[in-house]
Amino acid sequence: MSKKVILEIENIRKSYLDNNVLNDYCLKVDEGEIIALLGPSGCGKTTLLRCLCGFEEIDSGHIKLTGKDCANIPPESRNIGMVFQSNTLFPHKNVQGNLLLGISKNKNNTTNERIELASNILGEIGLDGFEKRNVASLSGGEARRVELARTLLSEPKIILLDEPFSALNKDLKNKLIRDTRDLLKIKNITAILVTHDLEEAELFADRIVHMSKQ
Amino acid sequence: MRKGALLLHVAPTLLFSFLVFFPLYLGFTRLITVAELSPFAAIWQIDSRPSGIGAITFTFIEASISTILTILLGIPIAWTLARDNWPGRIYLRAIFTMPFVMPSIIAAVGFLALIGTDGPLYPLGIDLRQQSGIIGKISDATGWENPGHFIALIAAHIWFNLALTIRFLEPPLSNLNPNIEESIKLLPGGNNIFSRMKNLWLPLLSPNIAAASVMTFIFSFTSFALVRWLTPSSFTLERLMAEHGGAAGIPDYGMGDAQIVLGSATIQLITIMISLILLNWLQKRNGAAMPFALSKGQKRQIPYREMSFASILKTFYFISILIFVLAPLIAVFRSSFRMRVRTGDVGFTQQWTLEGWSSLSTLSWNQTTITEALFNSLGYAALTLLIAVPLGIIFANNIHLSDEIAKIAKTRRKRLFWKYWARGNDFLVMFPLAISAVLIGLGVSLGLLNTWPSLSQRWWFPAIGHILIATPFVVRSILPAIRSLNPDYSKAAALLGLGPIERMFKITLPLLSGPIVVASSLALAISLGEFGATWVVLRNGASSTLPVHIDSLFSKPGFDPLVTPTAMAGASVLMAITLILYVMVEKYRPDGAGGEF
Repeated sequence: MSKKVILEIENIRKSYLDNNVLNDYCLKVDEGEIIALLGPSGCGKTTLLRCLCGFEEIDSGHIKLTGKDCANIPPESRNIGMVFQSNTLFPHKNVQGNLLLGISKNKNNTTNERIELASNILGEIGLDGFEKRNVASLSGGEARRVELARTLLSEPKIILLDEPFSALNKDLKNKLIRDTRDLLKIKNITAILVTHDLEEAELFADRIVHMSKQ
Repeated sequence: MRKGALLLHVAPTLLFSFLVFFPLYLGFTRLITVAELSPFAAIWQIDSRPSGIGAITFTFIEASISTILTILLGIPIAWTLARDNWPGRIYLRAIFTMPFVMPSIIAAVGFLALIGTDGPLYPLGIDLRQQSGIIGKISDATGWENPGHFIALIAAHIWFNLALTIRFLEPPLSNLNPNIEESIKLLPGGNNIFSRMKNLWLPLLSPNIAAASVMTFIFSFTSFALVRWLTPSSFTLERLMAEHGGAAGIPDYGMGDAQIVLGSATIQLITIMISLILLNWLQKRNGAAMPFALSKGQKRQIPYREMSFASILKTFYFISILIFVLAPLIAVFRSSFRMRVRTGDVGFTQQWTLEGWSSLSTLSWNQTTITEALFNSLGYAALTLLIAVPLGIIFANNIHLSDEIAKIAKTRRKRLFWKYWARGNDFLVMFPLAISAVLIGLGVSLGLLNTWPSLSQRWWFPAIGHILIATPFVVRSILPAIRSLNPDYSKAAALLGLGPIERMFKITLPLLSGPIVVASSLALAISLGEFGATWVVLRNGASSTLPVHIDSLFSKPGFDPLVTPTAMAGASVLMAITLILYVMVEKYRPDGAGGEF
């Protein structure tokens, strides 16, 4: 039985002044699939992710999420999660405060239930007892895990990862890549990783998509 | 630490402490002796004098309302300047923040010109000066006395302090890492404008909003020239101190005056101290926002927004504020060409004339002409420049060095000593800015002059107040630049065989040349515009400064039609010099400077 397509990118174009970054780009991603976009700097990987989120408007083409065109949907309503290359944990909140921002209040869950959800996911990412930790005191790897957990808590249809492992040392990177992949597979979450590192892509993804400069 | 270096650390601190605290100590001692009351007992005497009734309430009310409105009007400007790609954004920012360096007497006469019968508001039926028309009706309907004067004062305070909101809020808004904003948009905790406000913007901006509020409150609380001219029938604590200060040092005769001045000074010192402690606490909290900032080399991309209803509203708002900022300055210049002439037996009309400008060097008041007062001002400004700038540089360097020594100190005792030495010096050097100019003037006149009357014969004497008030601006301009200097430059120069003095003159000072130009221009502008302290020390006389002389001319009985255009011509000259200095400040201000002056 063929898998359900969750994301369809059809002939999208994006340019800045005279620079064509994406030119009739197409891609299909199945539900639960993990893919890696591999390519050199400047080939449009990050731009593609930003277009998927809605931070950049595409010049032409279509982006369909579960069959629906996203053209007029703002980023906050697309139900897409993203882990950025730079640390985006909010420094005025502790670990638990950051995680709680990822949990929707619309599901009639009580504060205690949301706190429990946050604690549970910390256990899943191997950071038990980190609830009250100041985010500034986290190591690079711990911060990445918390960001991933925060994104997972928001239950997105798809998670975009913009070179989140690039600043980590090799051992830590490999462990984090494996842990992240396992977690995504357990939860059956679709993910797109952007990277220029072939080894990272091979370790993480079910499928590697090569991108080159236009 | 070598003896020379130690001396360079201790001597400026001792000298500045002496200049700040000794006159204040002498002044307070004198006041306590003459008033025959303790400072706290004197507080209760303020309301017992006709001029003092309601002064405490009025001061707190005008300062609070000025603060709230300044912040509310300033936030949209800071937000738009930081986040929208407007054509001429840099110039707009420079214009909006310009009033902060303008002499307070210019603001006072500018608003007087705006609200007078020859101003642009009068034909629109808005008479804030005589309070006829709609303002009179408001007064009749509400029983509120002099609403026009109060509105003019609040408007002038907003005009003056708008720059503080912009300077405090624009940097965190423009330096915010865009990924932070984007990431919160993708989370349930930030999927609408209200949740983003609650979870991101308020925590990020509240320390800066609070810091801008505290500074605006202090400046509105201690404003003098604006209160003196725009609300002639109301007294603030600052105005009470200034106007009763002349007689307050005379035993027996000045007892009542001394009680009012002592009580006012005590309330003011307590209020300012509480505000400063609050500011210090807020700035420490502000440190938490630092990780929000863009990393080095990262640049915020400001999107160019297409025309929409929101952008039309913003444009309208910006044009309104632009007119508001420029109007008093244009009014000063315009009034220098307007003269009142009699028509018939009782009527007057205004005519265009150049006589105000041609009388600059001839119209004399207290044996001083505007030109002579200008030269006096330039003399004090030159002295201020010569002393405040080197002193400020040494202070900034000492504060930075103490911080650095504290970081590498081997024992906890040494670390704490250098840390608090740095904090103490920072507090000391900012102290004259926090206490009011009038209080500094009273310290000088009641303290030093009463103890050593011959000092009043020294031409340089009034410059002491200017130096005290200008030095904090120098330190705040230089300190961030010194902190951002790469320490490796100095190390590399040392390895090339350059001694400490050579390193200072060949490496450090040339690298700091931009901030030094900024500091020097600010010091000159502050000295040229200084009003409160000089007014208390000099009142009138041959060595009067230009701001004090303009004030005296406006106090002159109004039968001479030349007085107003001549005073306005003098004010235009002062305004032009300040504008040139401000252009220098903006030209050499380091990129991304904010939160400082």
